[in-house]
This record gives sequence, structure tokens and C-alpha cells, in this order.
Amino acid sequence: MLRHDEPIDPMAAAEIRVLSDNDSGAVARASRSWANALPAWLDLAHEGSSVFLLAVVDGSPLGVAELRPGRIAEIRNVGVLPAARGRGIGTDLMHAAEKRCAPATAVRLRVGLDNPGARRLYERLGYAGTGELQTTTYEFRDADGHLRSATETDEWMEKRLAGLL
Amino acid sequence: MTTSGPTFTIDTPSLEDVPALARIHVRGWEIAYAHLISGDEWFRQEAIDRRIEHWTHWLTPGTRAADEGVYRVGRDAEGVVIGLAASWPPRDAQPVRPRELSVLYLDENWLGTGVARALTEDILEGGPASVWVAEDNPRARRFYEKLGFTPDGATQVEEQLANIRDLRMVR
Repeated sequence: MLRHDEPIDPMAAAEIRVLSDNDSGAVARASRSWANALPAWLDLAHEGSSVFLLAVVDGSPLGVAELRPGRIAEIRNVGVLPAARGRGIGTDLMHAAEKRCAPATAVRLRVGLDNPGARRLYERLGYAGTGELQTTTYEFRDADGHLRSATETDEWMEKRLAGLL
Repeated sequence: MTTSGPTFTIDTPSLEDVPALARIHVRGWEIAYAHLISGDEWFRQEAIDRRIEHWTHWLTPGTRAADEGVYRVGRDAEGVVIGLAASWPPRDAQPVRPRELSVLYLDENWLGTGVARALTEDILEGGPASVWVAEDNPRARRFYEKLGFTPDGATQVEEQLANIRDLRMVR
């Protein structure tokens, strides 16, 4: 079982694969917020409205990303465990998601105005801000299990994809 | 009088065809674009794996791509996949035709045998359409011209594909 404070072999390349029911236990053990979100993720995956990609090293899930296909695809919920950051797993997840966007000609995502680190990653990957802002209020359970709400303002970013299929 | 060319049929693909579709698709890319782009991600096993995912998604009932897309496959006399085509509503921001011929690739042994024409006319029901073609893909451009397509002046640069320039043809 992976804990956030355990060192992770920085040389091991992550395997990116589609989340399946069989991954439930490992995903839920890896992160409490993933455990909370997992039932909804599996519902979306079963409906066919989203594909969830999992980055796995030595059997441990270290990152996740959601892809919603469509004429303009959307990438959501990109997350890498804190102990596994800075080794390209987010980039690998993004590339894997983009490769599954066809026949979309563009892919969009939202980035929090208070998250310049993520924004830098997306810009490096070729995403450009559209100037379109969206403010969302959402509820979540904190580490103690208390229901809280938070308001976040995001900007939509977009990247064109290959037109030739 | 009929010419004595090789026999083929046009059919609707099923999920069982996905591995063969992926293989023909990637080989088609190699024939069409190997002089323009390079890299294992386009032509090797990882490309085939990616096309397997695409075709699985496109042919799985209930997905948007399956609902909106029309798919055709060419088969030889034994039923082996020798070509493929896909058509979605135009993906252009400002469509100029009701449909797009989005994907058309052939087993190299069947180039020039009428399979591509049969796939195109079947999937488009002989009707109007737009198609994006690499500017430097002379075989494809000649083929579409024979089927009545002409460039309409629209171009795009493939930022994700070594800045290949495409032009749009319509009929």
C-alpha cells in the first residue's frame, strides 16, 4: 500500500491504463479523495460518458485523469499524488488522454486562477487560455469527513488537435 | 461487360474487426504520411494500440462517436479487412457540407482496384461532402478529384503533426 510520505522510485516509468472495476481497491487505498470520488467515476465510465486513465507504478496508482469525448473533448480531474509529482506523470496522463480524443479537433480543460503550477504545465503542453472564466461552488468532504463547500474560479484553456485521422 | 478485377465487398464493421481496422489504419498512415512525419508513435505498435482504442470507442453502441458516425469496411472474398472509411458530421467550426469523409485508408495491395471509390460512395451515399487532405498527398488528391472533389481554398496547419498543411476539398 502506498502512503504519501513513502519515497517512490523516481526512475520507474508509469504505465497509463484505463481505470477498471478491478482497480477500485488500489485507487481507494491510494488517496482518500479518490476513494470518495471513485463511485461517481465508475458510473461515468460505465455510462460511456467519460474515460478514466490511471498512472500506475509497481501496481500503485499515482495519478488519474478523466477524458470526456465529444466534438470538443474535455480533460478533467487531472491529479497526481503529492509524493509522485515532478516526474512527468501529469504530462504522461495528458498525452495519453489527448491520444484518445479522436475525432475531436480540439480539447479543453479548466484551470484554477489560483493554480499557476498547473497552468504552466498546460501551457508547456500547448494549451492556451481562452479568457473564458467559470466560477463553480462545490461541496466536498475534508480529511475529517466534514462536508464543506468551496468556490473556485477557473479559466478555460484549449489546444487544437490533429485534423487528419 | 465487367472488368475481371479482384472481388471485394463493402460492409459495416463490427467490434470483431477492430484489430484488423487498427492495422490497416496505421499502415495507411505510413503509406500516406511517412514522408512528412516520423516517429514510433505514428507507425509502430503504440499507434496500433491507439487505433484499437479509437475503433473500439467508435464502434461501441451508445457512445457519441458511434451515434454520429458512419463506418464502412472493405473485405476481400474471404472477408478479410482490406480498407476502411469513417464519416462524421463535419468537424469544422463552420461546416460547408452536410457530411465529412473523415477517414479513408486501404491495404496497399488493394490500391487502384476500386475499393476506395466504393467505400467513399457507399459511406457518402453518393452525396456532397468535405474532406481534409494533406497538401503533400498527391495520390489522395488525384483520387478525390476523380470523385468530383475540388479544393475550396480552406487550409489548416497540423500543429500536432510536424506542421503538415492540409487543404479542404468539397463536392
